[in-house]
Amino acid sequence: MKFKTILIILILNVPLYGQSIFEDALSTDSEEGATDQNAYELNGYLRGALYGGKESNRDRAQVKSQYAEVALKLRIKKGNYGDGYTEIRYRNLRGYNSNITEVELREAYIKAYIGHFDFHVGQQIVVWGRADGFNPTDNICPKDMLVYSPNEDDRRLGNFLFRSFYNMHPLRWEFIWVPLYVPSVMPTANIIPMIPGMQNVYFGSSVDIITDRDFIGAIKLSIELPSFDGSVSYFNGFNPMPGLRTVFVDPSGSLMNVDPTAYRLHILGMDFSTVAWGNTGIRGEFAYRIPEEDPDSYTYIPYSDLQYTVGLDKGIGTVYSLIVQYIGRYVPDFTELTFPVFPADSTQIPVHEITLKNRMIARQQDRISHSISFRSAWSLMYETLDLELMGLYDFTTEELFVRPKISYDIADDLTVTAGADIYAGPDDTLFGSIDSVLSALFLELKASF
Amino acid sequence: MKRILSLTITILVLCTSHTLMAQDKMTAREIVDNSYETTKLAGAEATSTMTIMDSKGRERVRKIAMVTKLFDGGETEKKLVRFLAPADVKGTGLLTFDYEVEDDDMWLYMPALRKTRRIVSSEKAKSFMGSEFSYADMTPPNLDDFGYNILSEIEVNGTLCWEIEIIPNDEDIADENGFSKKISYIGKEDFVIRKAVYYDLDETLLKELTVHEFRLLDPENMKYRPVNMEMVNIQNDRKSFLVVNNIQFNPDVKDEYFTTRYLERE
Repeated sequence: MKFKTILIILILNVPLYGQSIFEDALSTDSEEGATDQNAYELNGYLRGALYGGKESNRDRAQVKSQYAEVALKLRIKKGNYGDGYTEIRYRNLRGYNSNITEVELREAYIKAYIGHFDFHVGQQIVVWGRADGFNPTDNICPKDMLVYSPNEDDRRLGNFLFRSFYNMHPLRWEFIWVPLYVPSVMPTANIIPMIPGMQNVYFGSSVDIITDRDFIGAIKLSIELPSFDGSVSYFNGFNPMPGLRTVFVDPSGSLMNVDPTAYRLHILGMDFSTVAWGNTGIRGEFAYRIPEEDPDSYTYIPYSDLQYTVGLDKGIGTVYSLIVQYIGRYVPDFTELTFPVFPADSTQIPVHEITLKNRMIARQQDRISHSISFRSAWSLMYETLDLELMGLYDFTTEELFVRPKISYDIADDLTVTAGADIYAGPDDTLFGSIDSVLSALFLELKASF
Repeated sequence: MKRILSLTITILVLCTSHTLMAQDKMTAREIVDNSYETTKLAGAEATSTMTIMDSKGRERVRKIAMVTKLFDGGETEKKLVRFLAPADVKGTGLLTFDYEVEDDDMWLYMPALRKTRRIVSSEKAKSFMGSEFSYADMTPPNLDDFGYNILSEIEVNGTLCWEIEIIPNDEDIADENGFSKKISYIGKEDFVIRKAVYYDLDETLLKELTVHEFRLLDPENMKYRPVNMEMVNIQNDRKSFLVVNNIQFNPDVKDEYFTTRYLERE
């Protein structure tokens, strides 16, 4: 009975007072304030983007993607009680040798604030992790790395999920339940191996799920103190990026079927951010990933590994900021793969090649790997001209990614952005494989409203 | 009855003259300290419009909603700022714990990042929202970082003011705040700042602040807030106007505003 009473008090701890100037301004999008509890706001943007680069295997320029897109973002506010949000994008896109006109329901969810609880239900994008850009704990929602966009957020994909928080400041519990798994999009055309003697490799178009449980669950406990933020988390679900499963290899060795296959894993995560020496930010993020199945029995299952990102960020002068991060990975059970020089049968070499590709996708090409990332940014001309150079270099695989970007606000809400995505690396690496598809120069013009 | 009235008047005159005499004996630092104290509201909510005009008269407009509250006996001011316009920054929120001596703690929520980031607050000289105002102009400084001199008494728009020279104690503090010297004009009766003139790190006149209007929000404690300010950059002819559209003294501002939970509510 006592427990029930406490539960009712917790749930019914709804603010009963009227809204303040501050909340009115947020609810009504008006600096004058208002009292309408059922306010809504409609925002969005129009943009056109062009991506051009070198044609694969030919020294010729090529338009890789061009698109015109309109996004409508509708938010319905219910004062202190919650809100509803949806973002719909309509685009006409020419890319990957096709012309597509499509509507995308990027997000559509409801938030409810009930006392110490917050509930978010619907199609939404969840981002975890305090590191900059390279987040080993960020595994809730899938990504599409084939999207051409100057904005990193455009590569994130939404999924239907239930997300709830229990707030007891400075602690905050977060619970996530994803009923149905949605995989990340793989750059399949480029990572399917060119296997010696193999004439046809058929790649499955949908992702197999070899389990009777296809939900994802996650829990996180955060602490938010004035001088320190941090969290510990546990994830039980599918890795967003599936592995490659060899379904069939023709005994003659000339034909094989490969299906993208999702695998379950458990991830213990931790992250933090703080400020040291008065003016330097320190961030860290760690994830220990443990697949459910035995990696020695299935080629698409990676080994358990420990991933870690530690970084510093600092503002220098009034216009410049720099973030530098060390990104590492340790695979305790790593074993070198040996090429079957004298294969017992014709299927051994294709299976070996697929295993190599799986290690490339899971970024387990060595026992210990080291990378460094940086983001160097200048905000000039009273924050109307932004220059940014970001990059990643993997010392282990010698892969490199660099993105120089320049944005200029022609007027409020009218921005032109130009830059380049440059991927490079040896042929047997991920960046080396996707270089010919994703390396490109870009130009975007965007008007927001 | 007449004796009582006469006694009362005498006491009032004595008190007033004593106060004025006390004010005349104040040091420059005490005046500046009092000036910052007059702006310290126990709690307030406001919406503001910043209009930025370049030398060719082209305008950019930013709108914000802000809520502040004093904690720790007035030693910490917590502030939540939400950007309302332009559309491409709408929803961005900034949570600041402004300490008297220590460096501030700051968190930024950007809808495009979908998460709150702790940010470093060292560069107070940075432009505030692309305007002529800097972050240093928007937050009370650490008084120990500066030296103070009373230069004269001068009338500014009909109000008798102290003219006070404020000089950073060393080059690092000057760099951090973006000026080598500042002259503030502080009302003798109310300690409200009417005007300020800034000199850049080469000691050349940089910008001039004019407070066109201020409002007494907490009469009991004599607390004011400027509600219409103009900052003119003398070197490049840019102007920024910060107008408070709506402001309310509210010592009962909810503590929960000053959490990342609230920061993330767009």
